[in-house]
Amino acid sequence: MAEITVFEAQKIITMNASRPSATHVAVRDGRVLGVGDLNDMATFGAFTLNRDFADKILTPGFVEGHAHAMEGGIWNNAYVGYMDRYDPDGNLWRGSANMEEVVATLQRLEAEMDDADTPLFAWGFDPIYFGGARMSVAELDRVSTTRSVLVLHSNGHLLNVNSHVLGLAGIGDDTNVYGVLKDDAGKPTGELMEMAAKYMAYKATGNPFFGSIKHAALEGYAKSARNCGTTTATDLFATFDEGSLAAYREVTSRPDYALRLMPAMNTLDKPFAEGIADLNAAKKDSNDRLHYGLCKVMTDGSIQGFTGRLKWPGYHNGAPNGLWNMPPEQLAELVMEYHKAGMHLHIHTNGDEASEVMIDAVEAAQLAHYRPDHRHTLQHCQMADASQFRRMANIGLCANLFANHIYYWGDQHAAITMGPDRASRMDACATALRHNVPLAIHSDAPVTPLAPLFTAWCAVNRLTVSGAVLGPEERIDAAAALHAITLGAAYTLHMDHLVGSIEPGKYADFAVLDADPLAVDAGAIKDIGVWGTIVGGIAHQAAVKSG
Amino acid sequence: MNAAKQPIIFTVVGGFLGAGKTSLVNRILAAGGPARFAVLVNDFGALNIDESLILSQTGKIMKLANGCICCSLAGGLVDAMLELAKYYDHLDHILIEASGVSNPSRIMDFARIDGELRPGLTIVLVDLVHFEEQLDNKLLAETIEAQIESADLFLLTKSDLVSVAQIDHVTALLTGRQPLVPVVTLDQQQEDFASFLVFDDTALPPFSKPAGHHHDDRLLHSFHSIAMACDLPIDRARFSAIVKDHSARILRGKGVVNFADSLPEDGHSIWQQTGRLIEITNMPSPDNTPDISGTSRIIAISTDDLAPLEDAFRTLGFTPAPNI
Repeated sequence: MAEITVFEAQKIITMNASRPSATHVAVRDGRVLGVGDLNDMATFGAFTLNRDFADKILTPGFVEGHAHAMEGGIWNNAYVGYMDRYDPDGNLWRGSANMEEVVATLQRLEAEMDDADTPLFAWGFDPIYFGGARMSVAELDRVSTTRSVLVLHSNGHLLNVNSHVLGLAGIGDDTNVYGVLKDDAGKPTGELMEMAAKYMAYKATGNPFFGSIKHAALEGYAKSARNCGTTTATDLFATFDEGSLAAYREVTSRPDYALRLMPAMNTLDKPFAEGIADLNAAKKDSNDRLHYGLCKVMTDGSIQGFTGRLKWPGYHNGAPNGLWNMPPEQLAELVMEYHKAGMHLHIHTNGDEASEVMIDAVEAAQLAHYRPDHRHTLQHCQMADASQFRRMANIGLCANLFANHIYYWGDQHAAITMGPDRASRMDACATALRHNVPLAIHSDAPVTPLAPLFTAWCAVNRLTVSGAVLGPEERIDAAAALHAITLGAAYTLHMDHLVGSIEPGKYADFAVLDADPLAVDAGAIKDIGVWGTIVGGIAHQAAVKSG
Repeated sequence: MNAAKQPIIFTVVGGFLGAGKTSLVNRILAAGGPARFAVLVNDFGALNIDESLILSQTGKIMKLANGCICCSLAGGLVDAMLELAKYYDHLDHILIEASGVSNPSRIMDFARIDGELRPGLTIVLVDLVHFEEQLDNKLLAETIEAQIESADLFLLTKSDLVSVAQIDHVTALLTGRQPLVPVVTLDQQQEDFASFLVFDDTALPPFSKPAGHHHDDRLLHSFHSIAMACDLPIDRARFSAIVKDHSARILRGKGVVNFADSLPEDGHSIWQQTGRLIEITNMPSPDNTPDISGTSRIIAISTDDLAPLEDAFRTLGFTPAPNI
């Protein structure tokens, strides 16, 4: 008989309502045998007592329902965002508080590069914090005039390049194409938007984000997860090409891989029947650390990119309505076909019009092919109002709300995109719960950092960067937030029988914390130290933060 | 990039879901011809490709025995074009089936920005049965308007399912928005018309056998045509204004024009036009210049009466020249 290990903790928060807290948990075969006190443990038979975490708090391993494995690989490029960030190995990447700091960061990284021909790619640039200042070739030419320098904005829509890239791409004063921004003198500023301009830049320099997911990215993703107490995470927009499927299979087959990975297949780029067949075929590859079954649908764009699809009265600043990724009629057909085939849909909707179209589609699918427990989930669902949450509850739709947005861009949403009234109902966690919509909250890493305790802090406090409280009525309590990053998220992934709480039969996946998130001040939830994780009964210590 | 290579002509087939874009692409493919073309589509399966012609398929790219390439739009247009760019040296023409929600102008921008490409036609298909309903749909209105805005030429489809009055009504809705864009009803009789427009890159007549393609002469019988010539140098600004003002009736116009302001080394100019797509370029090389002794020669076809265009050209000194 396999060995039993008993972990002792200061407190174990189980998220199992039948037995909410304990001091000991017995683990056998990577699964929870039972929780209780030391006396209860003796009833399971001989065990090894592990007291490494006797002064720690154990919670269920956190479940990140909406993030991307690119989080693990993007750090090969230069981070030039506003906030400090840590990479998977614990290295600090300092935020850039203004344009000069962005330039200084790039200059430093450029100086460290060996090969003169390798392009310098940077990501996370977010001048929304710089009070209207825009980057141009003037700044990037101070980084290099002989090496290609490309800076991708955090909104994903804009790309800044230096003169060297403009030259390679043949973009000059006589280029008159939408998306090539020009200054008053008619010269390209180096700011490129829309597909054609970005194509031209990448044609000249290569696109670092092109191609299958890499082994190294998946390894980095597991490290990032470990650092923040996450033991189950999605890769919520996965291309099911041979290279990516092989990478998922090979990396997760290693016994020390510290993450249960859930790739969600992109449904938009293939015929419905082919996508359904591909997903069913991929399921054969599933193992304890690789769980297939999710599909991703993209409907609209983003709110801060003004590409989300909004109902009346539209964008607060009068910007035109956003963009569909596919005709709504075809999106509805996709939902119908995948639903009929028993698939589990995760549907990106940012604007309330996009949410409405998808609620209509799922309702139609339920009427045609009733499924009692589909757990389709609206992802982001940032602008849903109470009436939409009521409908979602009626048809069994779950919500995974983008709580981190409140902190990162809440000020801009109140001032520019949504106005103060609608901004107060963004990512309306309390409304979702009031109407019994199963709730998860997420980071969308690498868009914002992978850190469920931070995401929970956002939902509990709703503080913005400026310190304002955005929509106090939508705050939820710490217990509800902890549920949303554990069992709540697990429910939206159809994984609540395996992860999300500490109870017999489930994977022995725990977050190992320095303090009790239910006991600390609401404002301190994000500051709780994370020792690391236990995945399948094996402990993985977080990277030591440096810098 | 091979400097001697002509730019690749870039054609966009746009229009809303169900308007018949895929079947039009299939017709254009079937017309084939010597052009080495790449077609970008969402779904290989929807193309009528004889499997015996498939040489290889790796990732996004399917190579065919006739030198043509099919490229999947999976992963997005930017990635697809970056992949396809590896084959530019072996291509004459790229044809893109735009998704129903895309703005064809933003796709044509690829050809406007990349010197290896040359903007060709933006054809926008309009579903006669559902067009009005689509215009009224608040979810789609901006998308449809953007598609209308981008068109060089409208092709009306599903004409067998609607009345003549409905065709007139839709035509009026389109011309009200885009008075300079021709509207053509695509019916059985004219089904090869689009491929003719896409592949005819010859500067001179005859229309019926452009560039070695084999079109049925009967195709042209349903059209009005004019052929004119002029021995005097032509005023460039007035010529340009005329062809622009009449672009709604010029389904295909072409010719060799001797402009008064041309420099000797520029030689004659070539005029090529399909609806709103107007190109006036210098002769590529003196070797190819036909001996026309300073004479300008032009022809045009239309589904409309061409008398107003003929009258306008007469003001420049052109006279009918049936033997072109």
